[in-house]
Amino acid sequence: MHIPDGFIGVGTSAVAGLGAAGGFAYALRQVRRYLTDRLVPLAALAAAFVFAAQMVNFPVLPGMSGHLIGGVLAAVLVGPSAAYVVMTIVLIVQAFLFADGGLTALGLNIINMAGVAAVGGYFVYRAILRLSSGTRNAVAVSACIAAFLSVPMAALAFAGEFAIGGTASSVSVSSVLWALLTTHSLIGLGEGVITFFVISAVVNARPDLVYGSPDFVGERTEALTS
Amino acid sequence: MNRNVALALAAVTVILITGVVLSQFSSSDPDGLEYVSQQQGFDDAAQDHTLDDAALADYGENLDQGPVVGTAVAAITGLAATAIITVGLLWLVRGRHHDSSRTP
Repeated sequence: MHIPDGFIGVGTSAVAGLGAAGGFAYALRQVRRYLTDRLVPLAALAAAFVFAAQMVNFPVLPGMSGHLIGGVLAAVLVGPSAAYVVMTIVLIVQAFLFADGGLTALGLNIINMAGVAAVGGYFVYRAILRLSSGTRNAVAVSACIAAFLSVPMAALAFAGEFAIGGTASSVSVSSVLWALLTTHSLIGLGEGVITFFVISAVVNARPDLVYGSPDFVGERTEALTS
Repeated sequence: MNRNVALALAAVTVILITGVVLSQFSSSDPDGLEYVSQQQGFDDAAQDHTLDDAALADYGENLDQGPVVGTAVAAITGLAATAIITVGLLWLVRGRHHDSSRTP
């Protein structure tokens, strides 16, 4: 899922970088509204878990692997704004320490994995939860479905960036879009399963700590249910 | 043991097992985006990473101690870096606006 340098032109990448930076500033402002003593260690654990899980590529098809994005997982645990911050930190560490994800593509990767997968995925999560009974199992199942969907959503974002600024002009955008959506829907199955088990374990042990749980103790920057 | 400490210890254990142990079995096949770029014929557009020669590039592949130690060193460094930066940044953001009455 990490875009290398060269796939997307410099202009599009620069605009994405500005957007990602603006999103980061906004997310930090939002985080301040619900930042408590308990959120800081939770966010640090979420960041470390996302980093660790992204090191583990699981086989998906012969010759193709996938790994957790962790956006919905982080957003359900610590809220969408803190998740945007956490995902951005992970992506910066990966790009600068581990040469994973291009430096000019950093903004694009932040938009796709912090913006679309984590924040976008959180709003999908909330929409699904509103249709449900709101129990702890419903939290884990809603997170599972939203996590599954967040992977093709992020792939769709890449397809959009590729359509706008892709450097390979001889390639059919619709063919790339279709290939991205099918492969990333399969990868999303893994995302859903991992997210289900982690959220299920945490929400059953400590529902009061889970931002996306109806039993969360603390402030939210937006209502969980209408 | 305090419930928060127990949860934190459990989380750290899961994180270390994932980063240090499970990562040793990570598939080396291309990920979804790289696979699609190969199938669709635009993988040539990918440039080498600017920091390919960095000490921990590709999660420890450049280290001399072999893949197992390299991956473990990369994992522990990355886990520590992401966690420390997150704590540091949130602590800075919190700054002097901190109101302890908001802590539940």
